[in-house]
Amino acid sequence: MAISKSKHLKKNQLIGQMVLIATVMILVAFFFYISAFNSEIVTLGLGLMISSLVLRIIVEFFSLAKLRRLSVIQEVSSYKNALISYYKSRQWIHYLLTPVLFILYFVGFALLLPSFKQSLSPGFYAYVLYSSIFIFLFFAVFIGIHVKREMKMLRELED
Amino acid sequence: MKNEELFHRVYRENYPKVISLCLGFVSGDRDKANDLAQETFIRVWENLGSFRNEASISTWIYRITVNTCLTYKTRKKDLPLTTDLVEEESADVQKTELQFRAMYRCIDTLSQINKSIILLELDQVPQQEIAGIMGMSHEALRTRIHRIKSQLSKCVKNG
Repeated sequence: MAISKSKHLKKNQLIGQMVLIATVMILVAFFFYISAFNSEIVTLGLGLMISSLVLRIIVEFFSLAKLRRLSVIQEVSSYKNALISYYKSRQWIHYLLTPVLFILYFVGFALLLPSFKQSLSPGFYAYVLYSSIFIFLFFAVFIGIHVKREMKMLRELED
Repeated sequence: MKNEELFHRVYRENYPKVISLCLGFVSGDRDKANDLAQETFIRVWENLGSFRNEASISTWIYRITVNTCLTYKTRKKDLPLTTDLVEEESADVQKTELQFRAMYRCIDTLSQINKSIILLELDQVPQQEIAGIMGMSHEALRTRIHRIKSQLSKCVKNG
């Protein structure tokens, strides 16, 4: 029945947010685990990574709340116009905020590399370095696809 | 009547037309159509309290369905709308089926709003009601339907 499945659907919509929140929690735990506050560079690096993710989560949270507030019971032409405004208002997130935060996250990670090199075995350091390059590329492509899809939707609505 | 009872009645009576419209929107992909229909009924449930008999329940449900379908994002290439041809069928039946197939392929090329209008028209929703769902005058809708039909017939003829 539709009502009983609502929780499942809403859960799906939250998966992206959950991944980001889980990453933040891991980073915060890592921050305290390695006593990062003892080193300025490590504090700055982890601080940049954590704060860029937290900011992205907050912005997305408010953006999703704005979408949920659009009344679906209004006439289709009004709803379509509201949707167009909504997706247009998200363009600054896609083309400005997300790339800036992505770069800040990357810079934060790069600041940690010297400490990793000192404290990790050469093999494990190489693993961390190369796997993170792969992960960064993966996320860049993932974000790109998501933005492209949303812009395609905006164009279709504007037709 | 309690909200829950009313919802169950609304669900039973309107599910076939909701799923039929959703199928048209997602080019016949049954899984996606089911997701959209469920999302539609979640929104019906959430807004049931605000239904005030100003519009007929059918117009109200169609409005929510079309609005929900407008937010649908293409995740993967949609299946082309097809109907299975049975070999033993007569040449006439096969010809009609081929024409249907061509028409649905052409519907896929329409803008979201035009697609909504023509899918409602194909579901034999009265034009006055379609005008109420879309938020346009009956006259403007008639002109628009005429234009869409010419566009579709050109598209079908050109293959």
